Amino acid sequence: MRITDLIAAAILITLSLVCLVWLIPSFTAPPESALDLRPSFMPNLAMGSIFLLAGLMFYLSLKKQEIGEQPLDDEEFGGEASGFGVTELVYLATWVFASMVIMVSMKFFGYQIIASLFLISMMFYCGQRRLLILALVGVGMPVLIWQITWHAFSIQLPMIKLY
Amino acid sequence: MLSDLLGGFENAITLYNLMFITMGIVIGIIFGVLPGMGSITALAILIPVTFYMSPVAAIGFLVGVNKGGTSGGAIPAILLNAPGTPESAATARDGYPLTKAGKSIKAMKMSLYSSVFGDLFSDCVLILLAAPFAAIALRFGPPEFTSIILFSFTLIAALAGKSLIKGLLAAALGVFLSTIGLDPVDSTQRMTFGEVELFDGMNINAMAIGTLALSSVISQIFDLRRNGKDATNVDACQDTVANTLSPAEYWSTWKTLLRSSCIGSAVGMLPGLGVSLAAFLGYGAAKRMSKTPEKFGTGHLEGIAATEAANSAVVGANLIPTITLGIPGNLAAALMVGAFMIHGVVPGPMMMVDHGELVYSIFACMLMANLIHIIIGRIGIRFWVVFMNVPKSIILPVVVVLCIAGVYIPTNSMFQVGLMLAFAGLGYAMRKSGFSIVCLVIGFLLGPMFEMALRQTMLMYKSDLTIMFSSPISLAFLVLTLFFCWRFGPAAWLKSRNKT
Repeated sequence: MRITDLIAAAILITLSLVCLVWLIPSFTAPPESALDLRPSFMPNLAMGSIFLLAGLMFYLSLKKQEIGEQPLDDEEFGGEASGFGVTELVYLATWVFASMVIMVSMKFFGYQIIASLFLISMMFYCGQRRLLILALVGVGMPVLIWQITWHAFSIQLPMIKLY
Repeated sequence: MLSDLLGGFENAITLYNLMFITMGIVIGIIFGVLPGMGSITALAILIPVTFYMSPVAAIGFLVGVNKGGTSGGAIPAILLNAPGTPESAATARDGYPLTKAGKSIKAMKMSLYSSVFGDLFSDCVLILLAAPFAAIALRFGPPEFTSIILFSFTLIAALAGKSLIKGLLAAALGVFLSTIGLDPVDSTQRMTFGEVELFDGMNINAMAIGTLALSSVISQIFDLRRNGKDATNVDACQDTVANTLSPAEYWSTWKTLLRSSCIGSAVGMLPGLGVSLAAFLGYGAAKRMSKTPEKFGTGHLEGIAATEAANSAVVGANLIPTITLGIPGNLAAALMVGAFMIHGVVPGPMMMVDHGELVYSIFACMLMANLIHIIIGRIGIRFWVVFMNVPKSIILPVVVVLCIAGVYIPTNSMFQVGLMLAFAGLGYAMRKSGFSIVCLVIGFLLGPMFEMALRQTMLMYKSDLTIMFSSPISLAFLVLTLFFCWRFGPAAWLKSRNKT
């Protein structure tokens, strides 16, 4: 967890610097009243706090080596907060790639086809090997969701659009 | 107050509302029972669906989901020693030994009745305290609100996880994300990159579903891939005399039920203290006060009663700060704030004044939900077990496609779906590295309130911030903020350093 904390702190310091130096000044307007705060005040305050706290976290993580690693007993996540290593990075990259594929393909092929394909591949990825279940859930579930959203809420989920 | 409540019942008792409350409880219990789900995931996915309901039906439905989800988590804890929700972990200590002794139905009955008792108690606390608290809160001005929100940030960050710094970092990131969109005073663009979809700010549904529900699901999908364990086979259909829970047996724990309900309600009223903490405090207190503490952990009904009454008593009480101050006490309350906003109701001191009828209708719905909960829970006691046998390899991918539909329904926008997928990735990274998602979401919700309160203070007092120190309430909360920063920051760090 110490290495994770160091990397997280470094990423947050970089992110806050980018926001403080470029993003916030370039994409916010000046104030309209002399008494009011600048619209950029709150983003700057939040990012400034992140910069200071991440700096402190970086320093404390470095010091941890001297005082010994504390076991993480997190009430919110329990054993889930196991540290962010190479495996987790690969999983995150997989998720980002899958998300991009979903976003792009759903615009053209619609919800039903893409959700079906996604569902089948996800179930297979999770270890489900029974063909009947793959077919039934993979095709039935998106169709059911599509029908419910249309008949109950009059909302049409993304449709096939090949032109 | 009584006449308001009766008026609330008049509004709430319709077939339409009762149907949605019942549906909410059934869905909540199913989500509580399903491995890896829980009331938070259920709430996050189902809030967009309520967009098309009337406000009373919508909130009644979500209250049902929350109540059902909280008690449903006890079923896998009792039957499998695998709590469906973190707050049911203590239930497993006494529930599972009872299952091994062939008394699982009895344990589940005790859990259900205790849960409903805790719920009912905390709903009564909410009804009794909401109006007086709101009356006090009405006296608060922008400086007081600024200090209270600052205090809430610190309290939540300090208590939500192990690290105050990580909690504050997550809350600051939430505040930053909440500033994207149009400026609340000048209506000028802030970091929108000209994207029209961002003018209204980041969508609360996309954020909540992504970080809370979807990130948990993808984390479990990857864990499942790595570990490959996905089989549960439970059969709880035994019915013998041993599984009968007599009224005398149940009421013999009345002191424990009352004590745990008080603990749960007190925990629920304070922002940042989780449901799990209430459950463990209730269990610990019952064990300490018991004449037979050695029986705890060996299949003692009092242990189940203590845990379930305490964790369910949080559900109603956490709406006290939500309704009176607009400050959500925990994740479920934060999601409820989102639901209120979807229906045009802004939680805060003015809520009781502007929407008094709606508030009392919601209270009436909550009371009725308890009655429905006990009926549904009792009828389905054998039926819920079926859901536990559904493999995770089917449930988890189905939840992903449900999430996509859930975000698309109220927004009709693929941009928001993309935002949710991005938040899911962020949530996954936060989960693995131990950053609190509770703080992120609550920072996101309280950020706009904090900014408005601060800017109103600046405009009203001509940029003279000394008002923050001259108002006694504001000063008191600022002192408390500093105390918590010291207590959970440098003091905790020095203590752990001295230990090692």
